[in-house]
Amino acid sequence: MNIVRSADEMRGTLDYIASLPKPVILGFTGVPPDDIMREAVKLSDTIIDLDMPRDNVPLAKAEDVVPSICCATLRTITANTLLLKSLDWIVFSSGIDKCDGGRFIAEMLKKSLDIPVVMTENLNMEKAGNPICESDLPLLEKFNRIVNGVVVPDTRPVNKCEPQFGFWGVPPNDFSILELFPPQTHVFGWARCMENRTPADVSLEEYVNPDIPTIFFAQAFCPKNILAYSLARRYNGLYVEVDNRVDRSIKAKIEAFLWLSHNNRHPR
Amino acid sequence: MNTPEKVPVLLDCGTSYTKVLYTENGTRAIYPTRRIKEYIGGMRVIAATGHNASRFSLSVTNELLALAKSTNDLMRANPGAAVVDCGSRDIKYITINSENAVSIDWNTECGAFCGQLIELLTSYFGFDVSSIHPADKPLALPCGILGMTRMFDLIADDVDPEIAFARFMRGMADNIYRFCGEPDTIYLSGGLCDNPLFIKSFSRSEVIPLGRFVLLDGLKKTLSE
Repeated sequence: MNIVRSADEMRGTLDYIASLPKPVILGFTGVPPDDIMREAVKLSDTIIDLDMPRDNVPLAKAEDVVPSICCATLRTITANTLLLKSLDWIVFSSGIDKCDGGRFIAEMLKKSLDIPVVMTENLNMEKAGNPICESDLPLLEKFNRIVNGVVVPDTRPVNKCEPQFGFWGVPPNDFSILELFPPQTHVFGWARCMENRTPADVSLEEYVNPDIPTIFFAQAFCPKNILAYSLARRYNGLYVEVDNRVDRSIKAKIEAFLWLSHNNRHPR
Repeated sequence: MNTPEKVPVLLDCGTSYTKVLYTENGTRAIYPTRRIKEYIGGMRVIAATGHNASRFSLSVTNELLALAKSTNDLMRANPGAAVVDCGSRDIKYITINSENAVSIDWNTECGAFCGQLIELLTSYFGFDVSSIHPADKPLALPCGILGMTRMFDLIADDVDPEIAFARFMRGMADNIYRFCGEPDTIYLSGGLCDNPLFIKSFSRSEVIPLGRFVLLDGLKKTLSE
């Protein structure tokens, strides 16, 4: 296993990609180190976030490589990688900035694909800040900007807002869950680390605002459930575990939790 | 000939039973959901909640929200008590503690067919649940379906069916007690409010039945907001 942490450590691969005929298509996962991402973007004509579900890519395809008891994000990455035949190379977050599952899947895919798969780890601790997480944008838009900002940081100005609620977690596989929240919802957890460009910062990942009711979300079968469950208990939040799609009982729990928390926020 | 005017109603359209509130005069009725199509033609459904709600209305409130709105004042006045809605196919609960922290869950699987199973078993054996004594010890139930299997195993071991059924009910009650956070008081909503054996099978909580129209009351509050 060879994990790289800077563009200088992968010059050979970068030179090879530069020699490929255009157009070059890059797939990536997680939040690779900034300098690697900059170089990768320069060399690639199309950039595909393999973490994001695609309509024409069924999750079941992932079972060629990984068991079904694997988180929906990792199954999405695997299915995308196997079915998007036109990929020329992959930058695969494989260290403590992503997850063990990601590292193992990268290993398996490296052996079954005949394109370069660069395994990276992002240990950056220099904070970029969290204006999007604390803005008044609709929660869905916050997540779109955070996710898209991995490729090119989103520098559009936003308005900070006083929070009513918190959403803790990773970008969910099913973004429809985000539509249940009002814009005055601040983002915490790994999504906050993504915007801050410090995906391995566990202290930031554990940080929440203790004064606001917070939903602690994790994908089923993901070890981040340990954090989500424990933090939900510590801060009296709502722990929500979702596999692939968000079902009506999950949506109902969130709607009722938001209503009850909002209507009972003042002490007796 | 004039077409008769349809009667405005609110529906709690559950898996087994549909509870109806006639909004013009406040009267209430309960119909088996399997026969609701016989009655629905004369109704103008203003809004609905329940598992089948979206079959009959475009204005749907989810069951937990209806439960929350119906019982919020009760929960605020009784911190730590659980409001539990035992339906045909699932169990939902809400508690609010003394610091206003909300705990909430909706069990659609391990509570599988709690209410429906109890009704099926009661009618299969022809039990009068008001005359059966609650069991001293529970039957350990992973869920309703596997619990029923174990109950029939007991009967095969020559245990009296009434005793085996009482142990099954006690196992259900223990599961619900743990599921809703082991509260001292449970406010019970749903059809099992009418089942004295079920209520007496809770050995570690005081159970206060709220009746079968709790979700409809919450739905009504939603409309007045």
